[in-house]
Amino acid sequence: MRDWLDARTGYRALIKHLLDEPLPSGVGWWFVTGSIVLFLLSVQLLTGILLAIFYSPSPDYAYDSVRFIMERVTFGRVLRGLHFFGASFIVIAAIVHMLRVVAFGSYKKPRELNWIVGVLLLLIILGFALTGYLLPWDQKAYWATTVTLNIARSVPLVGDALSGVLKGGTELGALTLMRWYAAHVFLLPACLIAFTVAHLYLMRRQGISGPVKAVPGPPTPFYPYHAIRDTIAVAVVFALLLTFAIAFNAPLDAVADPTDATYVPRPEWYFMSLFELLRHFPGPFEPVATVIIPGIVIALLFLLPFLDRRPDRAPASRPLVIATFMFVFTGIAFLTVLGFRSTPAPSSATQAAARLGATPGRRGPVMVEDVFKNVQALKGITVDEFMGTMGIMSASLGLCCNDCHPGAGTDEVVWEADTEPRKVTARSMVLMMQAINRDNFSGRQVVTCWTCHRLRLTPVDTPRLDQFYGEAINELDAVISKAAGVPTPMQVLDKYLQAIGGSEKAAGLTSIAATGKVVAFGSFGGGGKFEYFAQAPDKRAMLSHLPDGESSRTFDGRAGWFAIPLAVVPKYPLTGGELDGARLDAQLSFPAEIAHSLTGLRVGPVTEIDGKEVYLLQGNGARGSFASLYFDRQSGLLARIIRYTPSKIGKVPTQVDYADYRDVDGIKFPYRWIVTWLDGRDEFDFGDVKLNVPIDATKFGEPTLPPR
Amino acid sequence: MPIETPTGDATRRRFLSSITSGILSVIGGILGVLGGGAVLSSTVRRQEDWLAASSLHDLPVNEPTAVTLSMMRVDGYREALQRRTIFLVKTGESEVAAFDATCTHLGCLVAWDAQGQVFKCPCHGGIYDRTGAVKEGPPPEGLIKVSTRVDGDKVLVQA
Repeated sequence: MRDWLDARTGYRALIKHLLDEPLPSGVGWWFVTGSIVLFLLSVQLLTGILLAIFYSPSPDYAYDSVRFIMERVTFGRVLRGLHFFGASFIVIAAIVHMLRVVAFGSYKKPRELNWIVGVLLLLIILGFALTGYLLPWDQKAYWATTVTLNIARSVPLVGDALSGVLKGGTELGALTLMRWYAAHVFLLPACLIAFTVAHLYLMRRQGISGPVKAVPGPPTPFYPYHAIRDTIAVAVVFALLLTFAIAFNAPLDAVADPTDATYVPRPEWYFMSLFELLRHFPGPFEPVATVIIPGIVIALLFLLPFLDRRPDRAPASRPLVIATFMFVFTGIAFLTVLGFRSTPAPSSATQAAARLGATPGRRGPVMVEDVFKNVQALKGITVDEFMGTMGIMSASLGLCCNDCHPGAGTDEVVWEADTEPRKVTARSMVLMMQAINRDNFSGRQVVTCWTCHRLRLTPVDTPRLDQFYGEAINELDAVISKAAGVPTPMQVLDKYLQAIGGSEKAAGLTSIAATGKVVAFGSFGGGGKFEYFAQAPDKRAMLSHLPDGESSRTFDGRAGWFAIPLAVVPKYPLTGGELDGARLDAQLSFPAEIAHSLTGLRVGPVTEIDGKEVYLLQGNGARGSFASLYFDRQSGLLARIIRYTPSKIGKVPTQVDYADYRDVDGIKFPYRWIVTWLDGRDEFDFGDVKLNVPIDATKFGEPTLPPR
Repeated sequence: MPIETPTGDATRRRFLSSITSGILSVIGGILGVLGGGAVLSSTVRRQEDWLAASSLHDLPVNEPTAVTLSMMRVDGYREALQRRTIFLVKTGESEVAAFDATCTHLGCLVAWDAQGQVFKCPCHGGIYDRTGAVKEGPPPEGLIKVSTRVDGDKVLVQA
């Protein structure tokens, strides 16, 4: 069979030709670097193909598919690790190979063209690293690519066009992901293979340069005398790479969130120097960092064999070349170190999430899959958002937890069990609702559980004539528009500040410390005492000491926590919308802060609360959250705040009703609060209220719970 | 220029060749196991839930009734709404049998022929009796039975 094949292809002669390459005497271990790069490129190609089998290049599924690879595919975690860490290994190996070529003067005549091909290969490798970034569609992917696109935009003359080509659409989205994916898996591999073949062909055609000073002796065949060195070096590198892939998870942040203004992009180490360089050339000087300096370095690399044309290869006789390379690489190393020092560490909320047991090796908030089993339709969201979605379902259908989770509220509950068909139906409904919004409303949440259910298990499908011909129902939607014939937002706020004691008094309010009695969960949670602390501009803590344990909501200006007794998750850090909501709660504790806390203020039509006319003032918070503030039309006092935070299946409202205003040090303070949210209702009656007193900062931090 | 084959030689060459081949085989083997494991991994495990299919009193006695079930199924990294048609046959006061409507020949959906009192496959003429057993045609086996249970008036099927 082999003879038959050889007679037709001549493969034996080809193999002999490839393996019996004569190598000059003295070729040693320095000459294994090229083989290491070649091997690592092969590993990248193989693992890339395997990852592509499972990866889905669309914003809807990219992140889920990467998580699927990490968590469900056999050896998926290791394969992604090999691919991820392999990228760093290749960059290192390619640079070491290049330095070896420079040190040995191997770029000199007649190998100039092969040097140029090698530089092109290095740029292609960096292109792989850049385009591979976006594919997991996590926070790092999104924000690092945003930075890249903006860097591209700073290129003089063609910046906008270049950024447009890279982006593909008006926003960083599906079209961007598709074209970066296409570049990563089709265009760049094709270029890589073509230039690698050219590099090897030219290497064979010109022969290996060999030692700087010729070593006397006849040449030896490549195989097996040098191949054994290559193989051992490759084995060592592979063992190291495999160890990394097994010991460490390739990082995966939370899913990309284009509205997260708090995320600080931190590039991979091999782009850190460029990232850092950008810091030192702000504004109109940006092109110096993005185009001119990198352009000069790349141009010097390409031109090296033509600038240094003397045949002498010894490093000592080429001090300018060696010094230039040392200067450039020292500069890159210095900028890299500087970059790592100046990029802030993850936020305290992230660290809190890590303490609470998020997946090891993955930064980011506590995801629902990390805590609950058998989550299907609502994967990829944080625990606090998930709890909000559960509240939306129960409030929309008028159900309790145990209607879908038999035994909820007792020790007998098995949250993950699917014994109740209603739970299975709920999943289909979530999917249906998302499909309706996606297919008909461009993904806006126009249809939610509440749209149809309205506290009923089965939606009403027939118009009721008595209602149609009866009294009109004027139900305001959550989002309002500016109404005509009402005061301006500033007039409403001024009246409020006057009503509580004047704007000067309000501006002087810097802290509140109070205690009182609480009845929790509409008396289901029992009665107890509470402590309330607020520190301007944005710290707040509500700590309730209940018969079943501690219930607390805290926000320290950056991170927030929620703890509740007898819950499936007793304590979790707030993220996303709930974190924004906690910040808003804290800011709105100080009347003078209201105007600064909300944007897009508008006053809606006059409405009523308990028969009293109120002005409805609405404003926007961060990331899709917003708040409605109801001010008594007559007294000007604040009667109610409802703040809304976004979730995967609708807006999550939290309402606070204020009453019983009393004078404290010249400021009117509401002594009765009723806090209502989707899962409960707490009534707070304040007893002792102190203003402008020092408060221990630890009160606003992560609450400490007694052991369960 | 003549290529030197270092002295020693055939033995040394064979020794070095076998070490090279051995190391490369181990690396290839590791990558093969990792890649093979990923490609062959059985990542989709069939889920079965008890789903409400009908109310008992809506079912006529001994008359197969087609019901389309909608269920969430894990499809790799996403969940998809899947539909499955089954036939429910009320066989007693509170006993219900269920069959999957998929023909066991090539997967077409069978229909109940009330006149002939048989299930008929429109594709290749497979015919099953009321109990799902093959009467005629190419199907290799009867219609697949689906587990049922009755909870009050609710007929639940395991699908």
